[in-house]
Amino acid sequence: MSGLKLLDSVRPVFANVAKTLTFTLPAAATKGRLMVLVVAFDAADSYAAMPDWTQLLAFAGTDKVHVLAKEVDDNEPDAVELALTLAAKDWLGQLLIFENGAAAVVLEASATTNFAADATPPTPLVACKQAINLDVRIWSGDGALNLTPPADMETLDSYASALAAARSFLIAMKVANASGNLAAKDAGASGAATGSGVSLVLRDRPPVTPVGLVDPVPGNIGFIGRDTRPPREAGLP
Amino acid sequence: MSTVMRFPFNEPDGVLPSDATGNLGDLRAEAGIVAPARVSAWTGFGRRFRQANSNALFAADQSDLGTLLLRDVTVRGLLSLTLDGAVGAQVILSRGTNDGTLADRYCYGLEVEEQAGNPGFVEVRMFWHDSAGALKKQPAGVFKHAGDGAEIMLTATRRWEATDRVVCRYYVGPEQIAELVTTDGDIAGGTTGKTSVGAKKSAGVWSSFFNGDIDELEVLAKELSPEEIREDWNRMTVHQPAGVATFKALAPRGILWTQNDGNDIGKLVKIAGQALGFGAATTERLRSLFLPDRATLERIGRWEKICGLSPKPNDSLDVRRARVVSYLAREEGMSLPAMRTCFAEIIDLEADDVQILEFTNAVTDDFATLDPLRWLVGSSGTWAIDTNQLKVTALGGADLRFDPLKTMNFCHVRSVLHQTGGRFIAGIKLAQYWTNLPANTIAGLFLYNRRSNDSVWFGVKNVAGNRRIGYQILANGVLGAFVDLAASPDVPLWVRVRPRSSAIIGNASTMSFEYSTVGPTLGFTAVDVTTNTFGTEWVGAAAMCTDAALAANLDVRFDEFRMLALEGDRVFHWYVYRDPGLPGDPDMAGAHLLATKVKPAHTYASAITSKSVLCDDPIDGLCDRGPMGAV
Repeated sequence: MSGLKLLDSVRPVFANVAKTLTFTLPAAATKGRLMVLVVAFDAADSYAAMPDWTQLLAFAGTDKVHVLAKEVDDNEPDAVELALTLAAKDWLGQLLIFENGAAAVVLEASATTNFAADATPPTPLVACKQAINLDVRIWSGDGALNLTPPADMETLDSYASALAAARSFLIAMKVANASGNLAAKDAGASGAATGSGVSLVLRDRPPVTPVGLVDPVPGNIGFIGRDTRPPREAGLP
Repeated sequence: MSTVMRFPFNEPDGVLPSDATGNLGDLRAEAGIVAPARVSAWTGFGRRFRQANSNALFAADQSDLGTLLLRDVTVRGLLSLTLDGAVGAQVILSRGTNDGTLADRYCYGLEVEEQAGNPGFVEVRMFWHDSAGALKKQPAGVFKHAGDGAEIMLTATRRWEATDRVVCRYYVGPEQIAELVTTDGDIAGGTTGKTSVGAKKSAGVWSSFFNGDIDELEVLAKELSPEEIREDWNRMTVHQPAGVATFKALAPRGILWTQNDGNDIGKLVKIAGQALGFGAATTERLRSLFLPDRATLERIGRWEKICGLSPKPNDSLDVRRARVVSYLAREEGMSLPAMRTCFAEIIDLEADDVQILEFTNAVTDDFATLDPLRWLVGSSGTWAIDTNQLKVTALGGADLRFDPLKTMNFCHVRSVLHQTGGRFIAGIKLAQYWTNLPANTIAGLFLYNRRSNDSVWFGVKNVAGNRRIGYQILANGVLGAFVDLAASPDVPLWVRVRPRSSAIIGNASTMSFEYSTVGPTLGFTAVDVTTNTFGTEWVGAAAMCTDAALAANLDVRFDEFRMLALEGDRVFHWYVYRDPGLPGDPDMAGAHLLATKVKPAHTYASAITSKSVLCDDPIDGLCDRGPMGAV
């Protein structure tokens, strides 16, 4: 089987007093599998660096959206906890668990945009090399909005949080099923949304280079053909 | 599942290339295309196609039996690409030349194309027409170009599952690079069409010329599995070269011919070595693919037959393998996850939706609902659920006499005991009875034999205005007098009955009638009672009045029903239940055969669509495939 395969996704717990954002690892997060962590937060907020994680995207727009990746190892704790240095507004995000992926190559492409007072907040066009890649869209903004994805995408999570100051988050996904430019996609919002939109193309690996058939002397047995039709029985028409 | 086209391209110059299967005529050129030149290739010889030269070939079907494949197909080739100078899509093979007739609509085709904006990356995709003649190009697999002239193995498979679901897989060498699903299951084409190699024709115009060398091409009437593709690759790249190396190694060291494998002796050695390797590859292929987890499409049917599973050839190979493996992997026949997986496909459900019903000999009911699949309700009185209690009501003047000729008319609910004769324990709580119990009316636990109408009522009766704990027995058609045991405490009362000895058909038996105001397991006062009841078969709750008309309204509440069939065979019955309300196309007959096959010998199993026999619809011969009262 080829392609990145999503096994599970979990929503974090934001503690505004303790200033932590905690993702509890699901059962699917077994050794060798890939974790992709998406976190969306206000432009003025920040968190302590996570050196064990590969930073795939650090978008600083109207909202900040960061994407990090790491393979689950033997010493993986039960939860991933971000230490927030500033948390004036709510932090939101999602932890995705994949099979067949690797942190170093999982992000094939990304594109980002900001939107303001928009009831159909957008995510931008993004280029995709392989039809089996995953098209992931993220919307993040202020306020308690009811965000809904485009009709052809599957919602991984959509929620709002208002412990410090209300913010909303939507992450949706589909198999790209096409190569080239994947069109910009708009979400639906219950009100005028202001925030940031991110488009990601995630992959299991770069396109492979096929192994060649090399022999200085031609004359090898290639395809042999098969006839697996059952024999006719004598006497039957 | 056979090869329907194979082009070795070994013919010498001047001889038209032919299809080794004989399904097509010889490949030829015509106006607008030029036959490609013969070149040296990995298997010996191939053909060189160049866009600049408009190289292509085509041939017509020799009969109407051969090349039309409207469902599963595999197209594969040993070929090299030359991207330098190539433009646009490059068709490798197309069955159909789109001349406006149905027979020549594309029913399958394979093309490659350098990815726009990504030089050096190549897309490979299948295409076909739908019945309206619209071209359906499928999403592509992508690989990195191995270099101009580097010969590779390229394989594309199509698996048709439904008119709105088609799965295409692409491989380079043994590696699967993509599996993609589309809704383009409407595939056109007709018999006696034409097939083109190296370009496609549409409305009389040739286009999309291939730019590279084609060594061999093959089309098969099935979806090759990833394992088969890998084994073929291993044969060509591991075993055959190993055979040659083995043979060469037999030569004495330093002998001259070994310094040049291309000389005449070297070629003879190569033939022998390839044959040696071919044999080894065949053995390895057999070893690798004979078990059901990797069985080929031809072999999985034999595994299904061996396991006694209903074959479902419309299922994908992966699904059929999983079903056989689930059957073989079951532990002592009753691993529930494996059983759910085993039955999931044959009854057309997700494994999690398959219900395996199995039972203990105990039946309990706290009356959150009045389950019609468990309780048979008499037509006298009104039985309903009220705040998690079973309530029976009847208006003053109602006739609640027991009428042996009208077995459904008396006031009761009953559930089957799941054994004939034998020992049992049954009990119920009279939660409220002291407010509305009319004169000469008894309400309580009900034991019943439908064949003889022998019955027992054990509970509380209103005797001349006094509520009394006691029982009344109907045996051999004669209703006995109420036997008074004690004054009713007018608080919730638990009553239960336990046989003191086996109830032998036709003989009297002693039962223990017990009552408690403390709880369902404590504080019982027991009285031995000898009855002539013919093996109690049903247990429940009932109200009965010996008067022709109730003197007042009846309102009695029951709760906490308990029944234990000590010698019941319910534990030996299990069922695979398929909810008929769920969508799908189950094979229930096949599922029943499967259940019969996999069940332990001492059990009874069935595949069912109803938890009780409900003879209420014309499907399944008027009676559902029910378990005869398993609930």
